[in-house]
Order: sequence, then C-alpha cells, then structure tokens
Amino acid sequence: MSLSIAAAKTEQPTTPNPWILPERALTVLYGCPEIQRLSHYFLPRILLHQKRVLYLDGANQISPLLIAHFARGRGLEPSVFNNLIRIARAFTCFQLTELIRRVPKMLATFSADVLIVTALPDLYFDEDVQDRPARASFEHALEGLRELAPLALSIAVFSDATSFKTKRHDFFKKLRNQADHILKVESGPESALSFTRERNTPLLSA
Amino acid sequence: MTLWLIDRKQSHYRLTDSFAPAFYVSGDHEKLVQLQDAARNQTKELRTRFTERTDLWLNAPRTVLEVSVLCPTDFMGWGRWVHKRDSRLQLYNSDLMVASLYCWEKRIFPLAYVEVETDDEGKIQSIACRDDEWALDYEMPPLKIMQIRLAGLSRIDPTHGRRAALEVEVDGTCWEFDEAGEPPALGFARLVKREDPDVILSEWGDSTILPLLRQQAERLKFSLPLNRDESASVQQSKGRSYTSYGRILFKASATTLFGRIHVDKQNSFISEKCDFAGLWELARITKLPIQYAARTTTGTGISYMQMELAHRDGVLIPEQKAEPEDPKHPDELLCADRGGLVFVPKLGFTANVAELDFVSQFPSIMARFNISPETVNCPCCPDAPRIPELGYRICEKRRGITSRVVERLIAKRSALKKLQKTSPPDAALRFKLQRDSMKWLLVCCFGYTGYKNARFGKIEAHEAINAVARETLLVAKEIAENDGFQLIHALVDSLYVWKEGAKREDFERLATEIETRTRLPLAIESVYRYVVFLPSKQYADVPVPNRFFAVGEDGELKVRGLECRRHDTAPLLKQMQHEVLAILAEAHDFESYIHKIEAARMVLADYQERLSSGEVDIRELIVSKRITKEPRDYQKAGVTAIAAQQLFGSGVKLRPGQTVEYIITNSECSVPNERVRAFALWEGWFGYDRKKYTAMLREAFEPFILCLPKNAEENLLIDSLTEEELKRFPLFAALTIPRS
Repeated sequence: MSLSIAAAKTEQPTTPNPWILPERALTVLYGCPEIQRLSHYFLPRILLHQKRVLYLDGANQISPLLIAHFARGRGLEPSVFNNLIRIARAFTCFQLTELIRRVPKMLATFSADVLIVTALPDLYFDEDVQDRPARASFEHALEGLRELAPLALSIAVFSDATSFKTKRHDFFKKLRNQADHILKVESGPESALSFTRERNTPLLSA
Repeated sequence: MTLWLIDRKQSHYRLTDSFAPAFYVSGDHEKLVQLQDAARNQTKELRTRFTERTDLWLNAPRTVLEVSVLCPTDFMGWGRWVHKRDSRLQLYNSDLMVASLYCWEKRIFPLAYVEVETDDEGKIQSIACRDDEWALDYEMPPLKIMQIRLAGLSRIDPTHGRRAALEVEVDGTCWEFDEAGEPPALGFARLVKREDPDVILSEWGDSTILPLLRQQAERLKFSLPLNRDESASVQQSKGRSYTSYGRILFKASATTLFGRIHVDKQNSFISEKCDFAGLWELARITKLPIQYAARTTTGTGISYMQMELAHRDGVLIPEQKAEPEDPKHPDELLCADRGGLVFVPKLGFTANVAELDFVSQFPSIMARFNISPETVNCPCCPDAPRIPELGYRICEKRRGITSRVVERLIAKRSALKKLQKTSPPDAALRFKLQRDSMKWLLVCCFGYTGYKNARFGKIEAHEAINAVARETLLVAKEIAENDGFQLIHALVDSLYVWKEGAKREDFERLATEIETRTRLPLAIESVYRYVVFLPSKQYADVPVPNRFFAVGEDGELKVRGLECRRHDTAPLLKQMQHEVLAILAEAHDFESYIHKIEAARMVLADYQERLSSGEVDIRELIVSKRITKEPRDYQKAGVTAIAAQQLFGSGVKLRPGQTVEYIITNSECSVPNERVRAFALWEGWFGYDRKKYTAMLREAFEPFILCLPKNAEENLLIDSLTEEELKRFPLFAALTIPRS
C-alpha cells in the first residue's frame, strides 16, 4: 500500500526515546483520551532544535498558551517558538483531508521539518457524515500522507480512534498499516505515561 | 414534478411539470470524458454537456460536466452513482432539494401567487410568478386548517405513556375520539375525507398521533387518507439524537404528507415561536418545502438562501464544507479565535439605566463590511482594507453571497417594523411574526460562517465578524465614557449605560453619536427605571452577564437567567417569580423597591403555604429535564436518571436528548426509586417532597433580595416552613392528576 514509506522505514534506526519523532517516517500515536493534548509535549524538543512544525489540528485542541508556557519555561520569548509553528484547524473530515492534500503547497511557503496531524481518523467517525463520503475522504487523506513520504518530513499522527464507538474502525487499521512506527500511549497511576512500540519491541516507560 | 395549487375559491389542483435538475462534476478532463461516455452508454435518464461554472473561492471559471437528470426523483441517486464510479471526482449542486431547485429555476416559491397554463391532463405548459417573496404584505392562499391533539397537558410527551382522547378541530368545531367508542382512526379518516383540510396542524402528530392512527388503520385494514396525493405514500422519518454546541438534543421523527401540509407544533421551532405567519414567511423567502421548513433549523433556511444566490450567479455549490483554515502562527490563532466582548456588570441595583443595542449587529457587520466566507482573504485583492486586530483582507471586487442575503433580510425586517407600527392590531401581529421568523434566520447566519457543516462557511469570516464586533463595542464604550456616561455592563452587541440625571434625550444623543461613528445601526432598547444585576449562583461576589432583571419606563420587564426563563423549572416556581416581578415592577427607585419587596415576600409566603397545605396542583410541580444518555447508561442515581429509568422500566423508549418530566417525591430517601416519580407514571402515587419544593421556592426568591442591605436580607431568608410544620401537615394522598 505504502511502498515508499515502508522502504524508508527499513533504513531508519529504531528510536529509543519515545519523545523523539523518527525522521522521514510516519508515526502513529494512540491509546489514551489525552493523546491530542499530549501532542503539545513533543513540541519543545523539536522547536529547541530550530525545527519547524506544521500542525494540522483536526481535534481543535491546539493551545497557543501551552506552547507559550513551554517557551517561557525554557527562558525563551513565546515568539521564538511561535515563529517556528504554523497551525491550521479542521472541523470536518473533508477539511482535514483538504489540509493534508495541501501540505506540499504549504511547505512551499513554510518549509516544515515536522508535520503533526491530530484526530486522524477520529474526525472521519462523525455520524453526520455518511459512510460513503467519509470513507472516500479518508482514503484521500491516506493517499495524501503517502504522497508526502518522499519528502524530508517527520510525520506524527495523534489519534484517539480507539475510544470511539463506531463502525468505521477499519479506518484506524488502514492508518496503522500505512504507519512506519506505532506507539501506544497509556496513562497509569498519577498520570504516568507508558509508551509501547507495537510494531517492534516495547519501548521504555516514561 | 407534482405541484399543488389552490385558487381563491379554495379549490385545489394537482398539476405536473417536467423538470430536469442538473448537478456538476469537476475533475481530470479525461475522467470527465469517461463519465460522460458512461452516462451516454448506460442510461437514457441523463443528459450531459461540458460547461463553465464559477469556483466560489477562486472567483474564476472552471470547466465542469453538467449532468441533467430527467427523472427528478432519482436526482440524488445519480450523484451517488458518479461518486461510486470515481470518488476523486468532485460533485457540485448534487445534494440539493429538488423542490427548491425547481423553485429557483422557475422563479417561484412556496405559497406564491402564480399564473399557470396547463393541458387537459394537468401538465403545466407555463408557470409565471405574480408574487414577490420580498413583498411585505401579501395575499395568502385560503388554507383550510384541521387541528389535532391529545386531550390534556400538551407539553408532556405522549410517548411517555400518556394516553388521552384524540381531539380534532376544524373552524372552531371540535370532535373527540377515544378508545371507548368508535376507533379513533375510523372517525379521523371520516373527518379528513369530509373536511379535506389543506393543513393538518398537530401537537405530537409526528411522533405519536399520526403513527398511531396509521397503525390502527392498518390493523383495521382500511386506508387512512392522510395524503391528498394518492400516488404517493406518507413519509415517516426516524428520530435521532445529535450533539449541538455541546448539548445532546433529540430530533423527533417526522410524518410528512403529499398534497397536504402537516405541521407538528411540538416538532417545529419556527411555528412554535412565530406561528403560521412566521412559517409561511420563512417558506416563502427560503424556498424550502413548507413541511421541511417547519421541521428544519433556520440555519438550513439561510444556507438555501445563499445557495439560491450562488445558483443564480453560476457559482458551484460544493457537497461538503471542505475549505479549511489558512495556516496561522499560534499567537495569530490566539488573537483570532475569540468571541464577542463582555464587560461584566456592576452588581446590584442601579436606577435610570439605558440599554443601547446594535440592531442585528452581526448581520449588519456582514452586510456593511462585505464579510462573507469568499470575500475574506480573497486571492484578488492583496491591498484591500484590513480587519482590525487580525489583518484579514476583504474583497473589494465582488459582493459576498452571505452579505447579499443578510442585506435583504435586514431591509425587509426594517420595512416590516415600520409597517407594524402603523398597522391595526391584527396586521401588526402578523408583521411581527414575519419579522420574528427573519430574526431567527439572521441570528444563525453569523454562527453558520463557523459552523462545521455550512457549505459556505469559513472560520476566518467568523473570526473577522467577531473582531469587528469587538472593535465596535470598544468604540461605543469610549464614546459613552467621553460623554460622561458610565458603562454598567456590555455584552457583545449591547451596552448598559448610566449617567446621573440623564434623560431619554441624552441617551438618544449618545445612540446617534455611536451610530454615526460606527456606521452600524444602534437603537435604544429601553431606558430602565432600574436594573438589578445578579452574581453567579456559585460565587456571590462574582458578576455574570445575562443574569438580571430590569424594569422599563413603561413598567415592562426584562428578565434573564432567572428560573422563570428556564424550560426545566417547575411551573409553580415560574408563577411565583412572575408574581413577585409584577410587584417589583411597580418600584421606581431603591426606596420603593425595598417597600415592594415586603409585598413580594407575602407572595412567597403564600406559595409556601399552598405547598405545605397540599393545595398545589401536581402539574405545577413538574420538573422537565433533558436526558443526555440512554436510561440504562446512567451510573449515578440522580433524579433525572431515576425518572428516565422508571419510564424505561415501564416500556417507554427514551433516547438521549429527549425530555423526561417528573415530580420530586422524597429527595432524601435512601431508596433511589422513591426520590422522584416520572409524571407519566404518577397516577396512584402519594405525595411530593414539600421540603425540597419549599427550598426551591426560597432559592427562586433569593435573586430579588440579593441587592438589599445585609440585615434586610437575613430577615427574608428565614424559612417559613419548619420541620415542625412539615410534621403537622399530613401528606396529601389526593394528588392525582386533575382531569382537564
């Protein structure tokens, strides 16, 4: 299905630290309801390395205040981080697909190193959207991600798909099939997080 | 297409017309050619041709394949066929209602006065509109209306178990059918045949009456003549739960007819709020089929008005909202993603306050500043004027579709207001209802720019409107303060201002100055003798917007956020608050307010007395709450959950978003099932929780004494119904539902 990405995967070393997103790969993180908010916590490390982030927010959970807080916590002005991020929100699955399809065009004006996508495929579970168009739109989104594979882009998809009661669970399976890395994130007692690498061996607990 | 017409003599005609609605397909040219070949080879029901239509966002022509469907009933099916062949092809205009498309093409509208030429078989040769949907005062067809309802309390959902006689009323004559006599379906069928109404106006007809009558007719093996058009069958849609603005709501099933209109007052927001006059107005200007207009949201109405304009302009109407947000910096997002501006109110009693309201502010902004989804940050005007704070550009080359729609609505509302003022009472009421229906359209046109399912929505338009509204309010505040007024409160589009000794003329001068500067219409909503702004229920020193009561110069009350405004409040509490407010409305200043509060206290005491002595009609104690889950999904034994589970246990099917009605019987009982009783299951039960209802009465009275000095307040908070008194009065067993 995703040959170019799959080929890229074999060339990448395994990443020991779950907070570091693998380069030139599609990583899917899922497993806890806070997963969308958790995406913020990957940002400081990326931004401190002066890498640029394109954040496509299907969950409508992006918090500029939290990003500013991260910057201040590191003795930086929020603008230092803000200049390295671009955010676009999607409120429907069709918009999220369109955003993903437009990534190459966006990269022409903002050369991001990391692409973060939230609520894929969660947004496609919307019961207001009929199965046929939701399915078609999702397939186009996956295709859009596949087309990004040759680019020097680290892609992270944050999904809460497993918490939904839906008949469209095959969407998540398809996303998993296309991913190079899959990390299951679970929160334990006192909000401790554990990361399990599902495709290979379990990773460390954080 | 089938059309039903009525002439001035109340004769009706079933006519047919040929019509081939078209949708458009865009994509790779090669694929479009393949589609065209497939359409030619596989069916004779389609006509295709290449043509040009305008892309809304680019404002540029695009070559598309036009697909005309010769059999209109298959219109949407052919759209699905195209999508099934190739999901990459983009469809436009493909999921529009055929009836509305017909109206757009023929330039007519529901309830329009038309001139028709037909052949002998009733086939339309020509149809011409002799009416104008933007006319203010128009002739309505002479519709014969039949009302149907169940005897007893209309606001209680009969699906919860209430079974009552069927009442049918035509021109003031009433018939009643119950199970003791002739089967109601038989009697009803006879009446429908004899009276042949144009409109059936029901209460709970969608979910209960018509489905039950149909079931009975089926059992008795006779045909219920609900439709005039015998070639069509009655349409019954399913009810469904859905989420809107974080609330779980329930859309009841719908029973719609052919050749006759069925409106269910309990399932029609617009006819509940604006009566028939409002519904007719809405159907005329939105061109939605009447039965659909009655049941759908006003947002759909505004969407269809936009789509009609787009259709006329040759603009492609997308199937879904797919235009996403433009990428932004986080700080840009923080700045843009904000709502209206609020200045929290000054707590307590303030005399001589004027409320100045921007008239239809958000629609006026959209019309005045040409803010429409396609005009914000358009590709054609890089040097266009910029929205304050955000820097978004607004197109200078074309007028936005949304701006054009709201402009016409504002103009018609304004003209109706003038007409209303100079008309006799009957006509004035009709014009008011027409205006009200348009108000609901205008209310949602702003929200729709940001609504996820609005085809012509774009979040930047929503943000731009909010930004202009915030700026406008700030300008108004500065003007008021420069003129020596004090801002008591401001909420998005309204300001409450005060100045020592200010007269109405002073407020009028201020309003004119603000209107001139902002170039947006502003009106004095009222000059209040006094306003009492109330704090949060949780924190007594925290002011909250929209919790206040005010008395106008003429004694008219304005109340927000009190129990009497809520749908779930027991009628007893509402009545008490209304009576108290009526007394307080006689006060002119703080001194007389204190005097009046003593009289109001007597009202409270009287209600408490009635409650303790059992004089209260049980129906006055009904609390109505919306359930947010399936009854079995509730984990905690809250009162609403208990009532829902009682109904569920008695066989009532409840869905999230539906309302349950109950009486609090013993809120502190250790057995959860005895804490409340679902009203539908009340018969045979034995008493209500006097202590709880007394506490609720006291709580509902508290807002009126919060602005009093502390010592007066303490005096008033003494509970007039003590534990001893509760013991002295017996529980009243005779609290069965009185027959109405």
